[in-house]
Amino acid sequence: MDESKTLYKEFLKGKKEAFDQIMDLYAENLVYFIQRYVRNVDVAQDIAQDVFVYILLHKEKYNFKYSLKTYLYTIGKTRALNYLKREKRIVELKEDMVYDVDKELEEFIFNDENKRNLKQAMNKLSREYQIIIYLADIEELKYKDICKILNKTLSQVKMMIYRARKKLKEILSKEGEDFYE
Amino acid sequence: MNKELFKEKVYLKYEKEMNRKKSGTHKIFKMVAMIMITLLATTGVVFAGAKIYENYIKKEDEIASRGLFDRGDGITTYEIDLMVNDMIWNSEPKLYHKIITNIDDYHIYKERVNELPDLTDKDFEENFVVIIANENVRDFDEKDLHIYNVYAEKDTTYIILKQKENPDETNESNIWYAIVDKSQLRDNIKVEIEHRIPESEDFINIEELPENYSIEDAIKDGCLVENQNEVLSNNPNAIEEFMNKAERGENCFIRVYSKSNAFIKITDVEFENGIYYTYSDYSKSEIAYDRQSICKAYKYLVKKEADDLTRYIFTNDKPDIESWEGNPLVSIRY
Repeated sequence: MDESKTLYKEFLKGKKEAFDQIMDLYAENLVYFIQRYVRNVDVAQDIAQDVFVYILLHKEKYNFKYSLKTYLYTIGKTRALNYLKREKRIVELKEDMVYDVDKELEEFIFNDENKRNLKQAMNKLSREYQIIIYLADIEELKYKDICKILNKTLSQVKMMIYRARKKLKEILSKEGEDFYE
Repeated sequence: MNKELFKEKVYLKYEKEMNRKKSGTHKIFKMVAMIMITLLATTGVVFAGAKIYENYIKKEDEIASRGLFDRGDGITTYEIDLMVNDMIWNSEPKLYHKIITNIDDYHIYKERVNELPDLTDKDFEENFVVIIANENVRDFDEKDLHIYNVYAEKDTTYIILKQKENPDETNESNIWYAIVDKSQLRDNIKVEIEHRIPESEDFINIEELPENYSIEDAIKDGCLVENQNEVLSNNPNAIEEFMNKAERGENCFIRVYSKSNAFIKITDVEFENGIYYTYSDYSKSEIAYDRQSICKAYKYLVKKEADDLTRYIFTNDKPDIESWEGNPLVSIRY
């Protein structure tokens, strides 16, 4: 059993430290993931906190079928989309749009040289492609988990990853980098 | 990000939420919400189900009547066949579609298909209606379909049909409709049937294999590799072992790389719950084919020995009958 599931079992037994450790493990990445949707680090942090509050309030709802990360990201995505809907910000974002990013957090996520090269190019992708690249290539999640988080079928996810990587490769080639070679 | 501050805020919000629950405001809110839901339900809401951001389908269902084909008398003639006269044919996957964006077109279809929900002019301000019709005999993996997803990418609206969970192979419904959010309407329409694609954690996606993916690469990756009917990979019995596992009812997977002169076919096969799910890719061939890939499910994988070749063939016909049709997986000279 992976570490997070063991921690969750401890949390179910009432150990607060276990929940702290779960937050230590996933909070930063969850904030960054939500930020791909909402484009604002403060809002992303707020939503990520709400995700953990939801877990505290409904601890029995996690059924261990998927990884805890997948579960957290699924809740995070739903809440981010609800936020967007509420704010009526469901618009296609321009490719060159600059948005509020927590630099320290970004350094933490793109923690090696290869991934750092990806960072600039990713911002030029559509939001949908950014999210799928983030889940597949930065978080390195399994396809099944990505399907669960994005509520899409395996073939849709595979096709999206294929198209997103192709697009990213084009951008990287233009900029003289090639992450996927 | 300050982790400690983050955690502190989580616990503060949690406490606040708990206090709110204890104070009873939550209960009052719940009660008000319940009253409002009841009111909405009793005043007649056109669309069933709550709108979810990523699910643009507000209502979808199948149509049991044959209204598109005839006028209820069972007689179909070209003149009265709305499907042939008005709908758009999609040669792949052999389905008709109609997009209705206004009340006038809707009335034409409503008159013939009474099962369509009642809609008003106002409904078309925010929505459009998709109708899909089938006139072909479909394989078992394409029976009992429903409209699973409608979404837009750039200038194309994709209408995805998928087999229902626990499908009823005897379901003869051939018409489906969906009411969809207008934000997803584009100039081009593409109708697709979503099939289950075989998958294994041990192999990367076929589509992601490089154009020059070679026999040597395939051997290294653990495929069963066959060139001109000779097995080149390390385990010539891989296909037999796969079949034995399937016979015992075990879930199993195999990737087969077949080469015959300029023709290259890479096939993934996953066996689960008595079904062989396959995905064949032809894009690595040195000559061009009309189709780059085929996704298909079968009930049987049959071994046939003839001359000096052992042929492994997929079929959906019971293989013990006199004549049956199949699709070859691989032929091996042992």
